Amino acid sequence: MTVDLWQDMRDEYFNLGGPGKLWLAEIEKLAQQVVDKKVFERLPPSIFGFPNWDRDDLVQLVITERLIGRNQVRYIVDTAGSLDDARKILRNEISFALADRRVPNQVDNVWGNLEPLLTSMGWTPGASGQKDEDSLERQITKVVLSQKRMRNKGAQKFSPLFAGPVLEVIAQQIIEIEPNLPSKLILKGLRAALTIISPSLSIEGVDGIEDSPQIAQLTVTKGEENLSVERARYGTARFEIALDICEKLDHETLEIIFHKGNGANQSEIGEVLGVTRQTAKGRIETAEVSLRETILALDLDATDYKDVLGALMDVLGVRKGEVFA
Amino acid sequence: MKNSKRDWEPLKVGQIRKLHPSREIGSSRLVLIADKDKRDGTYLVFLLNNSVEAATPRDLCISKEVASSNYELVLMTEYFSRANPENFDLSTVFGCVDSKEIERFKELAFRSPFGSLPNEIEKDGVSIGKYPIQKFDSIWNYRTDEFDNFRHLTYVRDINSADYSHRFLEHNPQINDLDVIDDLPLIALFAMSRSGEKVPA
Repeated sequence: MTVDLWQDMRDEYFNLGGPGKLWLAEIEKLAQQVVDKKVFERLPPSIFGFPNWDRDDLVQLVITERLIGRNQVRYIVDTAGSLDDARKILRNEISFALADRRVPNQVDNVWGNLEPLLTSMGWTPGASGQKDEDSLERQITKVVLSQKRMRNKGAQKFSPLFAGPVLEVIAQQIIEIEPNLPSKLILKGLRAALTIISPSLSIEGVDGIEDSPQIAQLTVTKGEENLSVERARYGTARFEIALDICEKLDHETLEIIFHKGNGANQSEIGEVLGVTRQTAKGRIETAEVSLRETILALDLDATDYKDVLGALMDVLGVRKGEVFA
Repeated sequence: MKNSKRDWEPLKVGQIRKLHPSREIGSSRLVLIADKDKRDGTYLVFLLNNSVEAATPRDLCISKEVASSNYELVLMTEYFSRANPENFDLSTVFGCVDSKEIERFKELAFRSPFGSLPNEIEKDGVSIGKYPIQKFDSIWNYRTDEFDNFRHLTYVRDINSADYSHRFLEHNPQINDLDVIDDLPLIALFAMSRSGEKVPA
């Protein structure tokens, strides 16, 4: 069946001088898988310049820019010996098409400045795949989150968030964790931290190549596992409630909650927000009121209230053992 | 030279050809013929791919013009091995690179086997890959898969093997070249002596 289909696709290519309906159907199938995965990972479509996750947009992009624009369809016809081979190359083409459109984000900006600093301090990227990667990632996230930040003012740019000397401190502390952490791990920790600081500006990387459906499936499975571990701690329902609360509260409130959860005082929060201690005090009170009202509106009992609060701290990445007053 | 479709096209150094796996495992790939061994008629080939974005500093991105092909190609300088002529697709030539250029690639790439390729290898239409590879990322896995597949397309020659001797004799039916006589494998010599043929002294 697949042998016939691949032969039909080849014939179609040579008859039409380009990809036709059979090719379109195959690309649509693969593009749908990619779109489903991105939706599952909650990646905003705007990072690839799409207004929403639409399969047809992606198919059009792959066909016009990759298959016809760069004549990759000819490469596939020349090289692939079976439909499976063709699908592997097409999957790569979809990944590359998305990667081409990816908008540089704050993680890229920070990494662009941090990497030379790390290198100048003697860091060399190590191999990933260590057993304690989760723990190392959390340490990196904490290092980044514990630094003094300047106010971002909600602008769609990242530059004011960290001052140069602060990056040096981050670089030093990362090297102290381990001198040759893999860059992938540092980026992961950085992304987690920046997602907490400013969720709208932090994006998951997309430059991976899925060589086979098994790898794609493995990625999805791992994501599901991580999600289920987090959710098991407080129960799925409470975790969902915590996520809803995060969506209802504004970024400044979430940032204040995070720092309060980490035991920051009014002056420290004031520094992070770029305001005086007195103003910070007012903002903290407002944030507390917002949080309280949002949770009270849910009409939870005492046990649920505590668990939802715990789940919220978990979502925000607050260290365990700290209690939000 | 662009994808000239003929019934049969002799193999030559510099041609871009499709190489099939010798066994049932593995997938065919495009390769660049870098050298021909006149002793047994086998070819040394570089593996090619189309992923310019995933080309590392050990790869060369070759433009359509330089490769005389329909698309840009990536020459993986680390993926260099020997293939038997019967495993090539003889019907189509997918492109051609000047054999002097190939010699230059080989010399510069093998002279500095570690780290990035030397900048002097670059010229119009030939550039060094820019993807910063690191262990176990997706590109690493992709290259590992490509390496595994390349092993199914090529082989490491054993000059003491019967296969080499057979190919040697088949490729040199008239052993009258002094260079060839020097390289005549012992097994071939023995076989010839048993067959009653005159063996060069």
